[in-house]
Amino acid sequence: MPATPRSAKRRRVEDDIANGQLPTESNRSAKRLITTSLKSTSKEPSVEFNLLKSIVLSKLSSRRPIPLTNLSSEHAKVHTLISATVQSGESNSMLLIGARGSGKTTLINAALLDLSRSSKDHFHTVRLNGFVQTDDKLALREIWRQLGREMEIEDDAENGPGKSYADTLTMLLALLSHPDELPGQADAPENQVAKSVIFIMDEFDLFATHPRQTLLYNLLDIAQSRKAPIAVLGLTTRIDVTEALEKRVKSRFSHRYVHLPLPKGLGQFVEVGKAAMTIKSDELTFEENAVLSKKGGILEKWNKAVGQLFTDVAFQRKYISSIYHTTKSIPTLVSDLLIPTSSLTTLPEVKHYVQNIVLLTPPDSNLSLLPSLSSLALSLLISAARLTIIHSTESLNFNLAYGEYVSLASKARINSAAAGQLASGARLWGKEIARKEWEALRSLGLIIQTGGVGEMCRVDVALEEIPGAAGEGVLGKVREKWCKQI
Amino acid sequence: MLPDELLLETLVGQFPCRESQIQILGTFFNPSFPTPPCVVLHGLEATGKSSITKSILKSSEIPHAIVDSRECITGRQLMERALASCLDAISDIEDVDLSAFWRCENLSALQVHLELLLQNQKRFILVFDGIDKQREASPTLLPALARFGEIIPCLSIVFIISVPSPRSFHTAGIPHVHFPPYTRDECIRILSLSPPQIFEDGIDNEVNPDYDEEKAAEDDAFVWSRFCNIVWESLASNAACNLASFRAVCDKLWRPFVAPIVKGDFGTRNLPRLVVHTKPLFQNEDVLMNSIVRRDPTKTTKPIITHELPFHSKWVLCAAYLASYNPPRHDQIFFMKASEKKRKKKGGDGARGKASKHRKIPRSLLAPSPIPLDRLLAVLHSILPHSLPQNADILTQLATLSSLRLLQRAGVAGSDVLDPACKWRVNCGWDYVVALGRSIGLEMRDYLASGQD
Amino acid sequence: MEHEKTYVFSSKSERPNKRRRVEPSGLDSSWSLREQTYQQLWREQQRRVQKVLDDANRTTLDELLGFVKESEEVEEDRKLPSGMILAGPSIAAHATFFDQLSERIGEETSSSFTLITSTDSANLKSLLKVLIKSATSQKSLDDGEDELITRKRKGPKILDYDLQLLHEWALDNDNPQVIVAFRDSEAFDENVLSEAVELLGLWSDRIQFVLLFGIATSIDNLQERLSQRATRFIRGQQFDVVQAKEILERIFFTITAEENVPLRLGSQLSRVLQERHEEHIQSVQDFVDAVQYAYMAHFFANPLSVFLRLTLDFTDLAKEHFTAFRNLPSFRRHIEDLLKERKNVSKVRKLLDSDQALFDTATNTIRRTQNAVDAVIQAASVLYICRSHFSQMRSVSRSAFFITALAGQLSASPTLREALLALKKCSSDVLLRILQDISPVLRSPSDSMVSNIQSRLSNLLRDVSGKREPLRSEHDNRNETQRTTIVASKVLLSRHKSNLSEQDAEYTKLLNEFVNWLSAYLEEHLIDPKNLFMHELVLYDLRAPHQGAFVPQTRHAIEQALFAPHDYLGCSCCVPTNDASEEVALAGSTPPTALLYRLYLESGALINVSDLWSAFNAILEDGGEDDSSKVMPLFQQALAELKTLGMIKSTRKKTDHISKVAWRGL
Repeated sequence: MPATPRSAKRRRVEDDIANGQLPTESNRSAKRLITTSLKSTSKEPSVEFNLLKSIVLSKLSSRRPIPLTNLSSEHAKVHTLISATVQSGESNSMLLIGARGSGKTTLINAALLDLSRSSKDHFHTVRLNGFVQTDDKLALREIWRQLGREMEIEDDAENGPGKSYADTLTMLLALLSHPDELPGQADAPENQVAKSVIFIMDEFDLFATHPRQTLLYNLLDIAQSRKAPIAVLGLTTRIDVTEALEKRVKSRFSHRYVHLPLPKGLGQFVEVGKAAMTIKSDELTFEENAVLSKKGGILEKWNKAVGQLFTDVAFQRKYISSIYHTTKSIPTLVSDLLIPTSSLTTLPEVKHYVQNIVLLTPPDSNLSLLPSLSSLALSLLISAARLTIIHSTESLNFNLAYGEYVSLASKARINSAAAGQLASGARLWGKEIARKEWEALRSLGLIIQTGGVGEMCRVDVALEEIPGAAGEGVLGKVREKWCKQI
Repeated sequence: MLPDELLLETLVGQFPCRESQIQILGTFFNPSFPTPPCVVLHGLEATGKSSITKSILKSSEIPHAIVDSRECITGRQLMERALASCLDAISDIEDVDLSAFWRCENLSALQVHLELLLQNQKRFILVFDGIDKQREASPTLLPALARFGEIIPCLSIVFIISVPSPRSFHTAGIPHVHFPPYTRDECIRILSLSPPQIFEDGIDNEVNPDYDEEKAAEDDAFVWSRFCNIVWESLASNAACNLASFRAVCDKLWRPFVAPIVKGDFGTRNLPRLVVHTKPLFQNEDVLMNSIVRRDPTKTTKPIITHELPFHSKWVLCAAYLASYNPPRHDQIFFMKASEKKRKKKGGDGARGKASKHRKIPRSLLAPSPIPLDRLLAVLHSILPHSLPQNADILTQLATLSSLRLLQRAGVAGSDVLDPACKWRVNCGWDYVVALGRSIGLEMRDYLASGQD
Repeated sequence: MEHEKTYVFSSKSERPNKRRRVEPSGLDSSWSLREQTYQQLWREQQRRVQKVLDDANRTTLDELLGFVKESEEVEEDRKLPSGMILAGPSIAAHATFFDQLSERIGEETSSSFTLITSTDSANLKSLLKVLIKSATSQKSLDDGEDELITRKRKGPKILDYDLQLLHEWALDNDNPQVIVAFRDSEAFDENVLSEAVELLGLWSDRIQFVLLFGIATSIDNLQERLSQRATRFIRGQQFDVVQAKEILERIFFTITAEENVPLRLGSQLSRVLQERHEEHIQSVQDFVDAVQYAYMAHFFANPLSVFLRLTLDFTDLAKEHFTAFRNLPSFRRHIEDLLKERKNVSKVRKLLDSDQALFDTATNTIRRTQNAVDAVIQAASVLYICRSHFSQMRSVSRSAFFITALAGQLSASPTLREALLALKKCSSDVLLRILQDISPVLRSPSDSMVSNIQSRLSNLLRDVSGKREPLRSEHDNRNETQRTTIVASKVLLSRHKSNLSEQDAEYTKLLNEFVNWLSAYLEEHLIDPKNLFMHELVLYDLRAPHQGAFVPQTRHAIEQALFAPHDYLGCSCCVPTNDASEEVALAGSTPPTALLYRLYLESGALINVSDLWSAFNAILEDGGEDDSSKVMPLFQQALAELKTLGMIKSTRKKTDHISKVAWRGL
C-alpha cells in the first residue's frame, strides 16, 4: 500500500462511497434482466448467433486468447529471442515485467503459437508457476514430468521423480547438456541436444525466494553456458526482481528485460476491449468458419455492432472510463462484459449494455462491511476506535473497548432519559453479548489480533471513517456524536 | 434456453431476495456457454452462498465437486479432499482407474492429478467453500488455485469466501459475486414465509367450533409476522442481525410468547396487550447468547453450581490476582504488615500512578502482568490472616491451579518451572475473584491499587 | 588446601562402609510375615475403598447413561448432545470417574467411547488422531508422522486425522454413537477445544457424536472459553458428581470407623490427613495413598506389628521382638498396673522373664485391645446417631466426631452431656426412631438391653395407640408451656390432665432407664485408646513419616542448610556460640556458600557484587585465610552455587549488581 495507511484508507473510503450505490443498481438491472429474458424466451436466436456469442464469451472469460493490441514491439523482442533459441540453438534468458493482466502470458503464448506453426517439433516448453511449485524440489519434479512426457523418456521408478532431489537434478542436467561434457555419456541417445527447451517461469520472483536459488542458478547457468539450447523466460510483476537474485545467479542472467506497459490512453484501453469483443476470421477454427460463412455477413454485422458499441460515448463514460481511471485493469474490463454479453439475444446494442452492466469487482476495503454490522457491534467498534485516539495507542483489548462503550452508552441513556425520548443505542448490553459481537468483529477482520498477552487487538478502521462508511441513518444521532466528539 | 430460465425461476422461488445473484451464477454456470476459469462468491455468514451454489450446480448438469474447507484442518488434507471429491464426481460419469491417484500432498501434485483426471472432460467445476478460513493454508494456496482454471482448460474454480481482501488472489479481473446480508425487511419477509403454529397440539373444536384450520393458519401468519417485527426491533437488530441468528432467536421466543394465547388469556388479535404482557421476554439478553446448557428464556436467573476449590487454593488465587494487577511499587503500601491507618494514608497515592496527559488506562482492564513466584508467595503470606500451616504444600496447589488454567505460566510454555525467571499470570476475571475472596472473608478492593468499579 | 573449608568431611576420614546384603536377622527377621499381613489387611481396606468409590458415582453414572441412550433418539439440527460433568477441582477424581464411565458404557451400550485428555491434544491434528484411532479401536501409536490409511473402498487413501475414516468405520458397523469425552476440559487449549467441537459439529450430520466434558470449575467458565461458533453446536445438559469432600468423609469412615478393622489410624494422624485433604489438596486418590502409606510404614517400621497376624506361631519370632515388646510404653504401664494390686507378681515376673508367656498374653490381649477400640468407635457412632435426631444440635462432620472419639476426648465432653440432656426431653416417637437406628449398631450383650426397652416401649405405645400426639417425658418443657396456657379453656385443661397420665409417667420411667443405661454405656466405652495395653500395635499415629513423604519441605530444607550448616554438618568448627540465639555467628569456618547466603540475606533486592566480595573477604580473613588469591575462587564458586540454586540472577538494571530472586521463609 502506498503512502501512509491513513491517507490510503481515506482514499479507499472515497472510492467506496463512489461505488457505494453500485450494488443496488446492479441488483435492479439484474432483476430487470431476468424479467426481460423471461419475456423474450419466445424467439429463439439462430445457431450462428449462439456460436458467435460463445466464441466471444470464451474470449471474455479468457478461454480463448485475446489478440494483442499495441504490444507489437514487445512481442517482437520475445519472438526473436525464442526463435533464436529454437532455430539456431542460442540459449538465452529474459524477464517479462508487467502489472497483473498486462498480457505477459498472452504475449508469450502468442509468440509460442506462431513459432509452433513454423517449427512445431523443434522445441519443448516447460511451464512453471511460482505459486504452484513452491520449492525447488517440486519445480524440478514438474520439469522432469513435463520434459519426460514430451521426450518420451520412460518414467519409471529408477529415473522418475521417485528419486531424490539431487539425482533428479543431475539427470536433468545430463539431459540438458552436451554428451561430450559428461564422461561416460558418449553413447547417449541423440534426441538430447536436438531439441531446445523453453522454460516459462510464471511468478519468477517467487523462485528467487527458494533457499539458495538452486534451480535458478542451474537453469541460468545452462542458459549462459554452452549446453543444450534453452530459453528461460521469467514472468513477474516486480520491477526490482533482480535485486532478489543472489550474486552468482544474477551474474548468470543476461539482463534482458521486456516491460509491458498498461494502456497509455483511454483510446488504447478501449481498443483492448474492442479487440476482446470483435472476432477476426483468423481466430476462427475451420469448422466455425464453415458454420459462420454459411449465413454470410453475420460476422461483419457483429463486428460492426461492437465497433459502434465501443465508440459510443455514453457507454465509454458510464463504464470504461471509470475502470480506466481507477485501475486500468484490462481483465476487469473484460470480465465485466461477461454478464451483458451472455444475456444478448440480438446483436449487441448500446442500450442493452448500458442497462445491464453488472460490476463484478470486489469491494476494495473492509469498510464496506460496516452497514451490515449489528448496532452493538458498531458501538463497540466506535468505542474501540475512540480509544485508539484517546490513549493514542494502537493496541487495546475487549475489556477496554467494553468499558468505553459502557460509559458512552450510560451517558447517552441519561441524556435521552433527560430528553424524555428513547435514543437508539441507549440500551446497555451485557458483557457476554458484547464479547460475542467482538468475536464477530474479529472474524470480519475489522479488529485484528496483534497477539501478545490478554488478546491485545488493534482496530482496522479510523474513527473518522466510520460515519461515512456506515452510510445514512445506520448509526443514528447518538453514535454519530460518539464518532464526532471525544 | 427455455429450461435454464425455468430453472432460474424455481431457484428464485426457493431462495427469496437473491434474484440478481442467482441470475449471475446462472449465467456463469450455463451449460451451453463457457465458464470463466475462476469465480469468487463472497458474503457474510447466512447469506445463502453455499446453498445457492449447490442447488444451481446440481440442477445444471455440469459435473462438479464441492470441498468444504472447514472440514479440512491442514492444507494437505484440503488437497487430498479436493482430489478425492473430484474422483468421486468423475467416476460417477465414467470409470477412471483410481490406482494413479493414491496420494496428493501438495499443490503441484494436485495440479498434475487434475490435469490427468480432467484431460478428456468437457468441463468441470471445483468449488472451495469457505477457503479463506482454511487452517494451516500455505501462503500461495489461493493464488495457485486461482491459476488452476487457466492452466487446466476445462476446469473452473469457484471460491466461496466471507470477506474478499483485494490482494489475496494476485490476479486481476476475477469476477466477484457479492451476497449482501439480508436487510431487515428481507429477513422478516423470509421468516414470514413459514409461520409456525400457535396451537401446536391441534385446535379443539369443542371450545370454538367455527375456528378451523385456515383461520388458525392466517392467525399464525398474522401473529408471527408482527412477532418477528418486535423481535427484530427489540433484540435482533442490536446483536443478532444475520438471518440464522435472527431465526434462532425467534424460534426460542415463539413458544413463551404465544403461551398466553394458548392458555386463552389473550385472543389472537389483541397483540398490543399481549406484547405488553410478555415484555420481559424481549428485554432478556440471554436469548441472544447461545449457551451450552439449555436454559429457559422466560426466567433470567440461571443456576450456577460450582465445586469449591480447596480453602488455601482460594487464597493462592486471590494472591495471584492481587500480585498480577498491583504494580510492584505499591506492594509496600498494601502488603507490608503495616498498621491500618498507615495504609489508608498512603493508599491515596496508590491511585495516582503514572501521570499522563491522556486519560489513564485502568490497569484492571488490561491483561494481568506476569509475576515471579516469590512475589506471589510473599503476597499470599501477607494477606493470610493466619500463618500458613505446615502441611499446606502451596506448590502442589499451584500445580493444580495451573492445570485448571486459573493460573498460567507466562512466557514460553516449555520453559523450566524451577527457573527463577519463570513467571506466573492469573487467568480469571475480576468478578470470579471477588466472589472467591468473599467466600474466604477477603475484601479484594482493600488491596487493589486501582479501585474497581 | 582451601577446599578443606568447603568439604569438611574430606576423604581422609573413614567413610561409612557400605551396607552389605545380609540375611535379615533380629527384628528384620519378621519382615516377610509383616509384609504378608500388610498385604492381606490392605487388600481388605482397598476393597472397601473401591466399593465406596463405586457407590459414590453410581447415580451420576446412571444419569449419564440415560442421557447417552436417549440422545440416540432425539434428532436435532446438527447439534451435539453433550454432558457437562461437574467433577470437582481434583483432576485425579476425574480419572477414576471417567474410567468407571467407560466401563459402564462398554458394558451397557453399543457405542464406542473415546477418552481424550489434554496431554493427547497439543493441537487439533493430534487430538483427531487420538480420537479416530481409539474410536475405531486401533491402537493409538502417536508418532508425529501423518500416514495415509488405505480404506476399504478404492480411491485415494485418507490422512489418519481425517474424520472421513471414522465416518466410513461407522458406516461399516451400522453407525454407532461415538462418545467423545474431554476429561479435563480446563486443561485444554481454548482454541483447540473450540475447533475440535466445531469440527465434530460439522460432522454430526454423518456421525452420531456425543460429547462429555469433565469440568472442574464451572459451566460458565467453559462457556467463556469456547468460541461462539463452537457453542452454537452444543446442546448441553448438566451432571453433578459427588463432591470430593463428601467422598473423603465416606472413605475416612470406612477406613477407620467400620467394625473390626485390625489397624486404625490414630487421632492425630487422622486429623492431619483430614484437614490436609479438605483444605489443601482435596484429592481422594492422594488421601487413599496416604492411608496406604500409613499401613506400610506401620508394618515396615514397627516389628511388633507382626502380632496383628491372625495366626502367629511363637517360633516365627526372633528374640528381639520380645525385648522390643517389653520396651513398649503401654507394656510398662500395664506391668505397673499389675503391680498396683499385689497378687499377680508371679504373672508379672513371667511376663518379664519368659518370652512364651509374653507371647501368649500378647496374642490373647491384642484381640481384646482391638475390641476395645471397636467399642470406642461403636459408642461414638451410637452417640452420633442420637445427636443426629436432634435438629438443635450444631452439626459436626462425622469424621471430626470420630477423630475426637479416637482421641478419647468425647467422654465427659459437652457434646456428650448436651446429647444426653436432649435425650431426656425427647418424645416417644423420637426415642423409637433412635432405638431403631442404634440397635443394628450395637452388639450383644448391650443390645439385649436395647431390645428390651424397645419392646416395652412398643407395648406402651400399643396401649395408647388411640391418641394422636406421641408420649412426652416430664422433662419436656412443652408441658410447662401448656400449663401456662390452661386458662385459655377448660377443655384443654382436662385434656392436659389426661396428658400427664400414667402412660407418660411410664414412658418417662422407661426413658430415664434408657438414658441412664446409655450414659453408663458411653462412659464405659468412650475411653482414651492411648491408655490401652498394646495400643501402639492397633493404632498407627505417627505424623512425622507423612510429613516427610507427602509434604516435602524442599525449599525450607535448602534454606535451613544454607542458613545454619551446622545443623547438617555437625562439625565442631562452627558450633553455634550460644544455642539460645538461633543466629549463628558468621564464622570464617562456615562453608563459603552458606557464608555468602547469610550476607545475601542481609542485603536488599539489588546487591552490589563488589560489596559482597569485600564483606566475604573480610570474614574469611578473620577466619585466618589471608591469601585473597585463594579466597576469590571460593567466592566465585559460592556465587555460582547461589545462582544454580536460583537465588540470584544477573540484572541489567544496574551495572555490576545482581538481583535477589528468592527470599527466605516463603
